[in-house]
Amino acid sequence: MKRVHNLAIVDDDDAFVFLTKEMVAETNMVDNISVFKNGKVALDFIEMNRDNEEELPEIILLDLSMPVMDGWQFLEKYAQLDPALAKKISIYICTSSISPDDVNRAKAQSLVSNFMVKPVTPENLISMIRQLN
Amino acid sequence: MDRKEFLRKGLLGTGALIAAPAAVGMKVNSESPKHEILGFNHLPQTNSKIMENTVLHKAATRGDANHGWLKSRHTFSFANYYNPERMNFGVLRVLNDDYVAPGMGFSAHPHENMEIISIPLEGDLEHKDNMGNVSVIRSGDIQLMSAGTGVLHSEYNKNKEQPVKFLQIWVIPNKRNATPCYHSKEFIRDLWVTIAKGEIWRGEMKNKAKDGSVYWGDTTIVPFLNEENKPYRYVAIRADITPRKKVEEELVKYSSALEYQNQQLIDFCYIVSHNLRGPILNISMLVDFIEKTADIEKQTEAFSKIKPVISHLMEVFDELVESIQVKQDTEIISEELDLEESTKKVLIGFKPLIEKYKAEVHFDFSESDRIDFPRKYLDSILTNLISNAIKYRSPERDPRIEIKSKKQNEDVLLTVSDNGLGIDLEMHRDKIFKIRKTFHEHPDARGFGLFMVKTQVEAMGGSIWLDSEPDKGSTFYIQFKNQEL
Repeated sequence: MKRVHNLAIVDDDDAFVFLTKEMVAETNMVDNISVFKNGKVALDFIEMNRDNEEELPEIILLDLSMPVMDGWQFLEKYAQLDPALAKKISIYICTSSISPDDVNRAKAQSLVSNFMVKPVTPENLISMIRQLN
Repeated sequence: MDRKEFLRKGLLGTGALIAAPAAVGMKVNSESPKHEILGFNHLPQTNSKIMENTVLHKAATRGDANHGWLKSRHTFSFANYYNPERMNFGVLRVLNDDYVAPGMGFSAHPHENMEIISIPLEGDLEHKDNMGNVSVIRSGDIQLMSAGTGVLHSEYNKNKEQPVKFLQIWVIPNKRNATPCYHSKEFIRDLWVTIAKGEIWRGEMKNKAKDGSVYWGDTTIVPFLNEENKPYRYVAIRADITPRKKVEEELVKYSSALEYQNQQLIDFCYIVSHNLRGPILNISMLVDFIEKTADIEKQTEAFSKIKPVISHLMEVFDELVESIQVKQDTEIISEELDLEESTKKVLIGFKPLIEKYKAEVHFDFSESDRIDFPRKYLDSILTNLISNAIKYRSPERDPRIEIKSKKQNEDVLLTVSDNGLGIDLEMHRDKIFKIRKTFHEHPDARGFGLFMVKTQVEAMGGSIWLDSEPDKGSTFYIQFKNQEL
């Protein structure tokens, strides 16, 4: 199976980041994991590396509730950036929210590959990486 | 419209028609809506035997007045024109065909117990009255005033270039000493168009009684149709619906209060869904991880992450409890507070921070120095806003905070401005006062202060909003309601 070169977690929740990193490492299917504390840092990184296929992630796990720039705002700005990127990025929303509003809003986003309600399990992660291939 | 045509076709109909709602008059008399039939108005059936009910006044035989600025032809006796043969036609008492020179008009003059209808044929006519109505009517408009117990009004040709030509019609009301009222051209047009189509017209009118009290009347006008489906007769029914209107107004009030409560409930569910579920999941996942992993080092790391999650959870929980207390604290007592004294007291707590960051704090409560408000809430509002102004200061300049108060009718407006980081309103406008929303990377940012401030301000019926520009600063506005001190 094809390995994932870069996976990015955009989330300010320390415990979630720790657990997800452990889980991703466990799957042994991902080379690098990078963590961004909010949408703005992630967006800046992507913008800076828009032509750099090596650095851009294949997968983004995106939280919704974050300071400075939340997940929705990130998606809005990312949409303008997406066509110019050197790599196709799959975005997965990961949220602890179980509000139907959020689910519906996420489903309406063409850029979002899927919507995952936390907790993220190793099975979720593996099927997500499989879908990519 | 050609004048003769207008008179022949329209006036007889219009005049009598208009008399129906006009004669309705407005009176508050009882607790329960009492329906009463106010009168029938017969119209000549224009399609047949028109001459039988007709008195012919040749245009040239009318009374004549020429004051230079005013030229008037009187169909019936009026002012200096007196002809005992021509006093009225049924309830139709006056039919004047007026010309008023540009910029001229009738200054304020009284009327009573008369239905006064104005129909401009050319130019603009401005009406003003002591009931507070101001309106300009033009060709195609009809205006109706019920003088009742007495109205003072003026009519001017506001147009400096063009004369105004209009018909002034007086109809004797079927009830004397009714409460005066004014019907706008829009109102008349709607009424006229509806009944001319043979449809039933219904309207609700808010009026002011002589004693200043407001009352509502509901009027229904039902046209009777002939074989050709043309209206030939009308009946007007009036009911006093003030009690119902009062209930309706109450309902609107309750409904907006309910809407507010519902929004609070949605916010509450949101907090539970977003802010409590997350930490609980984290604890459960961390414990699972510790159980499963054999790596002692990883176990220790995971373990160390549990405590911050728990303290976060406790914090959210405490905030929830605190905010619920505000909502339930409807019995909280307002007292007269001195703004300067309260501000000074709050500032004592900030002394170390103010010194540390070389902050300048200015206040000016000269315009309005007192408010009637719960002390606990005012302290919380000032503390949160001052704390934010210092916390989100710009690294490029010393913080400067300005606190001012202003009188706005019965309300007091408090403003707290800073020269700090500011908030990008385009991005965050709808989230500023939401719980657990932060806009800067600050270790102490919890997203609770402004949520609490808003809750407290709104609990007392006030409102809060802000202006802000990134890198320039923010100004918060707090409106304290009904401050008649």
